[in-house]
Amino acid sequence: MALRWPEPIPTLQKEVQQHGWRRVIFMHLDELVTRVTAGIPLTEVRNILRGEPPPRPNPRVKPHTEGFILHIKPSFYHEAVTRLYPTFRLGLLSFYLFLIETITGIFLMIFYTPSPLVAYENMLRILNNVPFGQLMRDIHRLGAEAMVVAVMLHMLRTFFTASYKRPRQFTWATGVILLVFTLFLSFSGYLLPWDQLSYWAVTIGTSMAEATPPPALGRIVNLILRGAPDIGAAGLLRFYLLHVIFLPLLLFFVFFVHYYKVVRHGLSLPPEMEAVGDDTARKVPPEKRVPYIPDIAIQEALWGIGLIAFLVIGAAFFYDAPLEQHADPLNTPLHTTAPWYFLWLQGLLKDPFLLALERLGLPRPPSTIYNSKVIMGVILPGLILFFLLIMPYLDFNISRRYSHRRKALVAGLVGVAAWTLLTYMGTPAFAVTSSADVEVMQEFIPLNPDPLFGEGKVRTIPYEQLVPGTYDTRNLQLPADAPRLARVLEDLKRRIETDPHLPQGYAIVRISEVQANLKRFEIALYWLKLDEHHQPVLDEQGNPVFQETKQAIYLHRDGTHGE
Amino acid sequence: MFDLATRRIIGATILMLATVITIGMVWLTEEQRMARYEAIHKGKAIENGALIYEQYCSTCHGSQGEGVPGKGPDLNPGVFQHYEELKQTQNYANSLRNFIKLSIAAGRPIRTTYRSDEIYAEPMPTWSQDFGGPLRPDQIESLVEFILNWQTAAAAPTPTPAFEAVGSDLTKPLPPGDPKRGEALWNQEVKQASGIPASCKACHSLKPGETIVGPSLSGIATTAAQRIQAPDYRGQAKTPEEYIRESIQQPNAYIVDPNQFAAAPGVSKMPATLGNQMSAQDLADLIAFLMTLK
Ligand code: HEM
Repeated sequence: MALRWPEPIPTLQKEVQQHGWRRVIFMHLDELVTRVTAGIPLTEVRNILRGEPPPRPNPRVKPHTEGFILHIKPSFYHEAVTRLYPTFRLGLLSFYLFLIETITGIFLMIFYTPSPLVAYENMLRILNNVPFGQLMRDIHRLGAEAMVVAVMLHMLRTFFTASYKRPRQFTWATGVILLVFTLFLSFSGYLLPWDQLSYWAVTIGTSMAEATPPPALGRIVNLILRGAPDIGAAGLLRFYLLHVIFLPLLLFFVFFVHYYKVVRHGLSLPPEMEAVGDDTARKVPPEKRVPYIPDIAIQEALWGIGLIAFLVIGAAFFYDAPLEQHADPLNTPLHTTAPWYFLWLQGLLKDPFLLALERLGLPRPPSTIYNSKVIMGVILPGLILFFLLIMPYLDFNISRRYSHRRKALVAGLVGVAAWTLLTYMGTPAFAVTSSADVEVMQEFIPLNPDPLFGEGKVRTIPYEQLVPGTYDTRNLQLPADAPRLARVLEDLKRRIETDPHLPQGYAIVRISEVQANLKRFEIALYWLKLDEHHQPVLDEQGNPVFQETKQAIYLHRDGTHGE
Repeated sequence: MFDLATRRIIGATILMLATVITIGMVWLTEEQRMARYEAIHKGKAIENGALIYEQYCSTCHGSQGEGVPGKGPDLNPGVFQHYEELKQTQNYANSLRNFIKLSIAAGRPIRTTYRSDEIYAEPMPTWSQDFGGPLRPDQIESLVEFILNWQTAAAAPTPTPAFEAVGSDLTKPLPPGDPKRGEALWNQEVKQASGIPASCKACHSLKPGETIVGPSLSGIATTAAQRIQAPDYRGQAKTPEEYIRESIQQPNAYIVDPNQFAAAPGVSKMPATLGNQMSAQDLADLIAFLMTLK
């Protein structure tokens, strides 16, 4: 039997005749809004906007069952977790940042080719030829740093509020994996600009992989990561693919595992609200429920707006992603560092254990037993990671109360302090061993900028003040109208004369104009040569011998200086 | 003062406005910003180029580009003049930037005399990694920026003197010619009115029967008189002087042996633009000199 429409078939014309056109327009609009919002009719949207309470049954929970995106979100939160404390919204912010990184990253991908031949040129294009290119790059870079910070703080907060305890151990473990992915995501992106900074930071970072014992395995790990013994075309391509496909996909996947667990167990309540050993996150009494729509949704939207404002304004006015000279495998910059979140590893590699032994005047263990690079670079970090992963399963203290967790809290603080200390030890400010003359050159006229001295002091001199001439620090004749030059030269004089490793040191500075708008700045450094008994070495005539180091840089009027 | 909802609305509105205004400001200043970045980058490239020049190039071309006798020619202003000459005399069609870039990247395959008779000990080596040299493409680029920056200072190397070129106009009356000056022109001891040395001897030998690119001009006065009588002669010259004049100003009017001297059918290997470099006096002097070669 044929299927039949009920008679009469409601046509638009008939509807209008029956209800009048105003009502018909409203009905169709209502239908449209209900479909688009996955279940909230127009009248209810109006109620929401007016701040009215929902009717019963509550149509505002419909999107949680009907809609894809909201079906993973709880339809209400406990009132106690909707304030800043205890979550600080750090998990939410981490996820937002991931989304923003994806969007800005795709923008950058359009203009980027992962080949050493063109990658750096592409970066320049993005900066000097792509409208909003610099803004996008700065947001992407600032967002990446912010994401690392947010994820780390998020971890600290879940530690300090004891949210990792039963039943949320697995949530924590997936979180640790997310942390690792976040760090590697950021690190893999670090290489892509293919400038000196990125090239050497990643060279340092990946050199640890090589230390994986036994040596044969280390070589293989290194080859897999870099694609060749050193980072080159193959390494760049690998890092690119890690950065744009592999790690984001994995992170996205693990995030959903993580978040599913978060929702299943409910957000943990502030520890002081529950009886010891209880977990009442899922048993929210009706009067404590804060519905997701509209309250939490509005909060989350506000955080999103705030975050975007922070990134856009920060990137536009306060933050510039660095881009140094083209990567040069033959020219290692002084004071190369890993990215800041891996500085603690670099600190470990300076080996606090050996340093401590040295301080105490104890002998070093033989390197056959104690291989510093393997232990500090691979085994210890591996153990730390493993410990983080299983830490919740080892914690038998069932109480989440701060007052019952003194040891854990102290251990956490000690951990943070140790991390900070190691990070400091990783910076070039700690125990760098290059010679004094090299340090002076780096401080004033570095060939590559570094985290310690930036672009060097000479570049702070405005171009006009680089008055051509020869200046001898033993007898400084300063030009009258070049205060900044005078300041730098006096600084140089003080720097050399107070350095115990440069006895009777002095410098001859030569400034010359070599081309239109191009000057050459040379420092020739002289200091007394000492023998092993710290006595001056004399030549045949009995005059003291001086050692010499010369270095020059060129300064163009349009290069950045005096800023 | 306000309730929570109102405060939130105000806060969110301010934040969004601030974001939009910031993006608007970036938009408005984007052109300038990009231009500025480009200038800064160019400045840095020149700085880099200067360092590379000091390290690799100055031993043969001098620290100021003044050249080193026996090792390498001057670049400042030599390279700019050389380029102008190539353009004018050889119809060299590439840009100055590319001329410099190619010269650095690929070097010279053989030892060359470069605008003078000086022979250098070694040909210029290849510098680009593409050709087995030590420098990356971006380093070559920086060197080019550095070398081009000499031009900023030299601002048009030897400004072209104002003069009236004879071009290809055969009807322009010529002043009486001076064979002595013509010979000096030939030998590049004096320059043409354009400031460019006459390039005739690069292709024409004065030894009987020697062909460099064009035919030997030994005995050209006699040859010219025979040519205008030849049955296949198509030009308009009635006298040997006119024949020589025509050959210089309109080399395509008559090509002696097309199999040997034509670059393409009807086009002589001799550039048709030589008249643009010389004044009527230059031309008259050159003709007078050539007419002495009986
Ligand atoms: C990409 C990285 C991460 C993202 C996007 C993420 C996201 C989230 C989100 C949205 C929440 C909801 C609660 C909140 O906002 O605080 C959450 C909770 C949680 N996260 Fe993460 N997280 C990440 C990394 C981590 C890390 C590194 C850890 C710890 C090692 C961790 C452990 C936890 C735990 C234990 C909870 C449950 C908190 C509670 O129930 O109170 N997460 N995460």
